[in-house]
Amino acid sequence: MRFSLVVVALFILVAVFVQAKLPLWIPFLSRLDLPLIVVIYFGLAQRQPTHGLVIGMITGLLQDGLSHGALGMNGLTKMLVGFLASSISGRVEVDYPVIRIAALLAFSVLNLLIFMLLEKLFFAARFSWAHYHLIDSPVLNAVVGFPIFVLADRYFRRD
Amino acid sequence: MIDFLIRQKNWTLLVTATLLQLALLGSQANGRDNVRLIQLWVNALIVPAEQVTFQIAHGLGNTWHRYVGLRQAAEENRRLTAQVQQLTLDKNRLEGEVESIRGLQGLLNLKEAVPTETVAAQVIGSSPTDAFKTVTINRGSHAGLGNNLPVITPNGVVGRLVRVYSRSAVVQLITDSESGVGVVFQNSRVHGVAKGTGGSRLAVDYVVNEEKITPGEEIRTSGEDRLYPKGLLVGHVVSVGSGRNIFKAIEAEPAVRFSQLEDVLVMKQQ
Repeated sequence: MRFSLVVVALFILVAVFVQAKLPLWIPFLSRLDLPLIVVIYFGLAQRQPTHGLVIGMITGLLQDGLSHGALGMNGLTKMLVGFLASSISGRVEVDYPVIRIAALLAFSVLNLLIFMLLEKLFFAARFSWAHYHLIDSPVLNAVVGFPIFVLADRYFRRD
Repeated sequence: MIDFLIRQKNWTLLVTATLLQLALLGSQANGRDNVRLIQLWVNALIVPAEQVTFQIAHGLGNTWHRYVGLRQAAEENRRLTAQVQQLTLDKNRLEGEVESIRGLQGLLNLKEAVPTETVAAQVIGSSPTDAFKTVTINRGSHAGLGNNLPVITPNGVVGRLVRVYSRSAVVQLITDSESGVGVVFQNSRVHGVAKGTGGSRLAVDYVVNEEKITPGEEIRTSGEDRLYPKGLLVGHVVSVGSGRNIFKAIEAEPAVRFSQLEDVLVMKQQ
């Protein structure tokens, strides 16, 4: 494992906490998904599908726990993203910046699409396209996420 | 199977976790009619199995109940058959008793209607040979009976006593070939003699061809024979023909059905 469990746990907790607080100060940042960035990062870095899966699921469930939404929406979404990210990273070299930015964009879109699908399936009554920002959010995630990836690599990655 | 799951642990874990979280979501989401989706899913999974189980259990239960029911039905059938047979016997016996009572009631009415003293008797036997039309009754000289006393029923004249014993008597029926009863035709008031033929009918003699007699006409005793009181019903004319001499050939049906004769009255005074 390229990161200690403590580091992973801290990253997750901080991301969830900050994500819960940031929109209070800057509403626009509600379109940012810090926990998702963390999941993508650890997914790409760990290269073990089960690790990505567990990290994604725990992160998502924590996020759900703090939100007023249904428990499992983010849990399932981020679990799938983490699983896919770690699965891909085992086959493709993902340390290149372009790859990382592309991964951030792609997985952000995928995350939104899965979330939309689940909401459509389970909570169709409250579904609205206005809730989703299929361009803004992925771009914002990529813009914010890439520096985080770089910093995390420098300070927390073991290899 | 387990080896396969272990080999594919990543996918196994993914599918398991996905299903669990879908279930988690389903438990929170409402479907139609405000029912939790998880409940709908569980219902969709469990209910068919329950229905199959129920059908099997129900089928087995029904089969068992039918088997037990069949055995009980067979037993009940035997019991009811015996009961029906017993009831049929009782019914027949009661019908016989009713008929007997009805006959006795008729006799009682007749006894009250007839001015002379009568003795009620029961037929206990009949003639052993077909040549004689006689029956035996259970009353005799001890009951004050004697020869030639008329015997009647509510339906009409039966005959007369020809032999009287202490506790029984022999009745010569009016159909006996040696019997003769003085009669009168109810409508034409023509007189004649009703003779036994030895069969089941009577031949009314001594009615001249000039007289007009019609079939169905009643024949009653005329009292001229000094045996039977006047006015008792003897029978009905069945056919009327011209005889070989001056008298008509008239055939009559006795009013009394001798084959069903059970209770009779013996008139003590002629």
